[in-house]
Amino acid sequence: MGAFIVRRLLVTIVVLLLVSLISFSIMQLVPGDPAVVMAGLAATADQIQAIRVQFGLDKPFHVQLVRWYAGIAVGDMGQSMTLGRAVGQALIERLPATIGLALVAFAMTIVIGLSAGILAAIRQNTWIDQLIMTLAVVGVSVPSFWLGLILIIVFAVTFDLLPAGGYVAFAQSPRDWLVSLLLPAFSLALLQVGLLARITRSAMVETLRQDFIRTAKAKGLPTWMVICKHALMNVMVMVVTIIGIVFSLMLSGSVVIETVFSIPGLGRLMASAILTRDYPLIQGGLLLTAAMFVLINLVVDVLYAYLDPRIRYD
Amino acid sequence: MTTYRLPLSAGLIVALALASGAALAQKKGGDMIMAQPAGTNTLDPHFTASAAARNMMLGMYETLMAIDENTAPIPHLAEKVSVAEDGLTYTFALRKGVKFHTGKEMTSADVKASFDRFGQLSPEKTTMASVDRIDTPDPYTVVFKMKALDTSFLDRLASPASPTTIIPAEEAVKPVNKTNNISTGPYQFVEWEPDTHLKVKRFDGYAAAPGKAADGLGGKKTAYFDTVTVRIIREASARVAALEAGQVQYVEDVPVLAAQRLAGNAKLKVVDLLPAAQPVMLINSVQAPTNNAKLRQAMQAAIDMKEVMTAATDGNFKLNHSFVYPNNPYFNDAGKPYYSVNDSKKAKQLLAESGYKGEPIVMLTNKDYQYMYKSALVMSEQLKDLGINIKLEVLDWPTMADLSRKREGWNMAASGLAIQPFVGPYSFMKLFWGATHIAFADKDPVLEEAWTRFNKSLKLEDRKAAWTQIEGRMADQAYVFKLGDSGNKLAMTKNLGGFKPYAGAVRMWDVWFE
Repeated sequence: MGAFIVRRLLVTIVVLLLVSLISFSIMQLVPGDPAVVMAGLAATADQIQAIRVQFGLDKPFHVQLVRWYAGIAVGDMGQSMTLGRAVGQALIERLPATIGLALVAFAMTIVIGLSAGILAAIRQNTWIDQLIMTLAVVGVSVPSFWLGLILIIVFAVTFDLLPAGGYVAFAQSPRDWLVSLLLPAFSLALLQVGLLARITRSAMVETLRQDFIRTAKAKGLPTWMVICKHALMNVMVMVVTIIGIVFSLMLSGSVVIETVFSIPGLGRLMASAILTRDYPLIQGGLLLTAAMFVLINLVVDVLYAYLDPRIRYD
Repeated sequence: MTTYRLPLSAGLIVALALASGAALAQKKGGDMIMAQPAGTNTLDPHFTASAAARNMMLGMYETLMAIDENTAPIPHLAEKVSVAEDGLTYTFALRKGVKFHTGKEMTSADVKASFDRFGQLSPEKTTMASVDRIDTPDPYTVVFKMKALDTSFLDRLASPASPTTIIPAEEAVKPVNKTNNISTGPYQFVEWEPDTHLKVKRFDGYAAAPGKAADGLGGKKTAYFDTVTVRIIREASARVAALEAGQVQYVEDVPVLAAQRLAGNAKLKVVDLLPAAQPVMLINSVQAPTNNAKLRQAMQAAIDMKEVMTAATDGNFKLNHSFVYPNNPYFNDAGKPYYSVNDSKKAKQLLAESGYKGEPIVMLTNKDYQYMYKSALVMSEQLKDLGINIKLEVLDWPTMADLSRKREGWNMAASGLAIQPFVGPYSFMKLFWGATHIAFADKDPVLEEAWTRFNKSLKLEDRKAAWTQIEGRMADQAYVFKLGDSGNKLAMTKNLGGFKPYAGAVRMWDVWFE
């Protein structure tokens, strides 16, 4: 397993090098000049040129590329053109909000999605099953953007139970942190809850038909033990695959949700970086996001081996 | 010699007596939170140029001259300014006892250092182009010696577009974005996160200008709130929800439908800021086929601006042919015969004369600014009816902004002007003249002559005549289609006292919680 992880980490470095090259090249190819965005409509050519020089945008592609890699080699992703600070620092400042949002949404997805899926499977073809599956389809179909706004109107404006937006840091107040994340996390989670519930149900239904479940029941084990110990562990292998994807989708879904709920996270930062063509920030953000995706996949692969003793990587 | 003065002590005593009754209703305190759709990339006192930035910084930053309620320049950190008969010397007497947020008193050395920095790095540094030197004969006198006559000089010093902020001399030596956010305003800097919020607090050492009350961006300003926070909430529905939920007390750019709903809320009020901006359609006058003036005029004659503006603003507009607002002293009717003509017979005749053969005309727009998207959509349909082969290209704003600065690759581009129509003609100089002409008509002899006359005329009447000619020429040559004046719906809690809408910026002084 140790050798596997080392091998995967080495591959990760190659993946990240490719990601950074692609993201750097795409940004150079996409039309739109950050200097023009910063200087505004009424700017003169020399003002725009001054901004281009200030951020090294006047240099040829290969010079900028070499600078970018030379910087990364020493952990420097450059200066953000719009935030007036190092890209690394800006990303680190915004990461906690996004991770927090993704974790709370993830916890909601697991708890609601798994239990709904299991319940639907145990009560297969009853009205409970049909109700859960109908809700799951609704969950998968509702756009998170729209859902977010509806939740704000219901819970913040009409009933005044939760804040309409904004973010409180965990260090400032863990309780307020959780409260500030409830609505955005639910908006983010609902789509994944539907997905997870459907997958869990079908995997569970399949597993419950297996011989070993019948054996477990035959030897007189209580139902909860049959479900939780024997069936669930087998379902988990499939579920973990989905969970990896779910967590990745949450990171990308945060772009929309963070904008709707004014959460100062990575997603909102990237959205505004793209709108202002803040090249260093976009490149740094893509690199960090890619690194997180690769890491999540690695964790998922390791979890496979843990959950299913038949899977061995060495 | 012309002298511009602040109101002096006799008036002040009367004003204080009159104001004392009203002052009972106004109390200090409270944390004001406002929300706006965009933030700013920089708070550098000499490098900002956006409407979003003005809202965020004009409570902190102050200038020698300010604009009043009707955008006329008035002394602010100066007590008075005297202009020599030949217009080549401006002498500013500074107000005494004006303190920076650091507690240090402002002197002529700070003023000179601030203008030196402004002249080096501001987007509006051309303001200093006609200044030969700045003398500081004593700590409270600043003298500008001019190389050439610039009759807009005081207007430019007062302009909030990219303000000539006075900062301490020791700050003025720092490069772009490295200064501390220090000036002399009624609020002082606390914290700033570029895309989330700015927080300022009341500056208790503030030396208000004498006078009855605040006037435009100058006058006797009073900060009532303990703190003011400007939050960036991009999504309009989220901004409205934040106001309804009581998390913010003031929001801008409320959609018209939402504003109608908010008007029925007993805790809130909706205030109209109209005019607030001018949507325009830029025309590329050097790229075929729109390099053909007859073709541009044919298109101009075909357009119904009422229909365009109704779609672009959801009905929140006024038709206006001029590039300045009707209350501006330079308002004129030179462009009226060319505006919203909607005469298909005339348009077809001009089109026939132009020799247009159905070549494609590329119209750029974007969805980041919905009014640009909708105006382009309607206008393109009107032009198709005329027989114009419009190719509508919907891009994102950065791509469009970049492309529309190039001389090739497009014919028409939806855009908008915010501060220029408010402050007046001098701010259009960069857009309607010379190398930075927005239609690339950089060698138009009529504009050349009229602008030169505008800059060299000391009499207001002569300057008005020059500007009228400029507007007439811009319309006659159909370099830019002026669409109309659009409004901005502002919504706030009912207990916000003293608030007056103003196209220059949101003013968080002389506003209080009742």
